[in-house]
Amino acid sequence: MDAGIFSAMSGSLAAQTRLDALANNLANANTSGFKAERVLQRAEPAGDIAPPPTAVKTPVTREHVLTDFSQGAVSQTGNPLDVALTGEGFFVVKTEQGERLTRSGSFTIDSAGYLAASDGSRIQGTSGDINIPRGPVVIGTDGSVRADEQRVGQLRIVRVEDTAKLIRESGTRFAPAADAPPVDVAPSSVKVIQGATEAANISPVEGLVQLIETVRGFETYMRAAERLDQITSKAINDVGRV
Amino acid sequence: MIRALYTAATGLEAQQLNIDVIANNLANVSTSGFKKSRADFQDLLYQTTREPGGPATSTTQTSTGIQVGLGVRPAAVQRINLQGDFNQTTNPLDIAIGGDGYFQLTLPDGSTAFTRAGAFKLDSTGSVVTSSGDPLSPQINIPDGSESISIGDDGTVSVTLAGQSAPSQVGQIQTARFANPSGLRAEGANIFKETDSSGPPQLGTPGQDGLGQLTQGFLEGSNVSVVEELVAMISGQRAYEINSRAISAADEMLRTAASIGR
Repeated sequence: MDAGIFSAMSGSLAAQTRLDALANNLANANTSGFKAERVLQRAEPAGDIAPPPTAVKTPVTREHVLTDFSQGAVSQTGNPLDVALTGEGFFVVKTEQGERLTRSGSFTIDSAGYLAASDGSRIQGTSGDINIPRGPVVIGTDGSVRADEQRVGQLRIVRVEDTAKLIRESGTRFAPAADAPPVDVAPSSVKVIQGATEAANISPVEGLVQLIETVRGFETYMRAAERLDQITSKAINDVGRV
Repeated sequence: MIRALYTAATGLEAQQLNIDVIANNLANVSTSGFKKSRADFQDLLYQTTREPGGPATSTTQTSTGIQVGLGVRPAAVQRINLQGDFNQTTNPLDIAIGGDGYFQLTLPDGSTAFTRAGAFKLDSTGSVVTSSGDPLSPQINIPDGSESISIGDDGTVSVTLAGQSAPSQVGQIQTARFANPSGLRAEGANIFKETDSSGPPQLGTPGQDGLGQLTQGFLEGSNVSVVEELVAMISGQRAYEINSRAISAADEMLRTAASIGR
C-alpha cells in the first residue's frame, strides 16, 4: 500500500485543526484581551520504527497550536474601570483554582467594594485584593490605583519567561505551569492605559485569507489521497489482471 | 470540522447579543438618566489534545501543546455608569445628579427602587413623583399655593408661599450610592433595584460622603454616544459576517470530504 496516502490524510487532519482554531479566533473577534491561536505544521517521521534505507521517506505533518501573544489594538471606552495593558505582562486574577493570568482589563467593583473581573474573581494588587471605598477611580500608567484621591493599591502585573508553557483556560485566562512561575514586573516598567481595553489581536482580513487557504489546502490533500487511491486501484485491478 | 461549525455558531450568537445591546443603547439616546450597556465576551472552554510542557520522550518536553478553543460566550452585559450630559430645562422640578448617587423612590407595591432620571412632577396631593407617579422617598410635599420651589445642591427643598417673602424648607432629598452600581437590576422605566451584587444602598445627603451634588433646572441626558455605538455596530456586523464565512468554510470542507471516492 502506498504510504503517501497517510501523508495526504495527515495534511487534511491538520487542516481541520487549522479551521477549528481559526473559527475560535473569529468567534472571539470582539473578546477583549483575547490572544489568537496559530497552528503550525511540521513534517515528522510517520512512526518510531526506522524505515528501510531504500524506502522513500513519507513524512506526516503534525500540528502544533501556539498562542500569539502580540499586542492587540487599544480601543478607547471611556469607562474608568477598563484598563489596557500596553506592554508585556498579565493582570493577576484570584480564582478558586488559584491565581490566573489575563490580558482582559474590563474590571468591575464587587458588592464588597473590591476590584473584580466580570465573574467576581478579584483582581490582585501587589498586596492582595484592591478595595475601592468610593469613586472616582484613577489608575495611573504605572498601575497605581487611586480612589477619591487616596492611594488604595497597585495593580500586580506579572510576566512569564516561556509563554508557550501557559495553559489556556476559558474566560480569556491562562494558567501558569508549575515549572514556569510568573515573575512580578516592577511598577516602573508597567504600562497601562485607563479608560481603554485591549482588543483581540486578530485581523478579520487575515482570518478570511486563512479560511480560504485552509479550505483549498484541505481539498488538495483530499484530492491527492484520491489520486493515490486510484493508482493503487489501477495496480490491483488493471495491471495485475490475468 | 464539526467542531468549527459549532465554534463559529457561538461567534454568531455572541455578535447577535452585541448588536442587541447596541440597538438598545441607540434606542435610548434621548432617554434622560439612561446608562449605556456593553456586552463583554470571554473565550469558551479549550479542548486539550496535548498539554504544553508534557513529556515528549523520557528526557524532553513538548514545547507547545495542542489546545483548540471552542468559541466565545457572553461574560456580562455591563452598565457603564458614566455621567451623562446636563441639559438645561429651567423646569424647577428637573434635578440632575452630578456624580455618584441615585434618587430613592417608593413603588406602588411598597418596595424601594432607584433612578437617575430626575424629571419630577407633582401629583394631585402635592407630592413630588416621577413621570410614572412613584413618589420620592423620603416623601416631599409641596404645599398648595407655593409660588416658587428651590432645590439646593445638598437636596434641601424650600418653597416660597404666596404673600411671604422668606422661603420655608419643606423637605430634604436624599440620594443613595452603591458599592457596585453596575450590579443594580434594571427594571425598565429608568428604574433600578438593589441586588446582592450591587450591595445595600447607602443613603446620604447629596454633596457629602462621595454623593454627587444636585442641580435644579437640569436633566441628566443619556450617556450614549451615537458615534461610538455606530462604530461598535459596524465592527459587530463585520464580526458576524466573518463568523458566517467560517461556517461556509467548514461546510465546504465537509462537502469536499463527502465527494472523495465517489
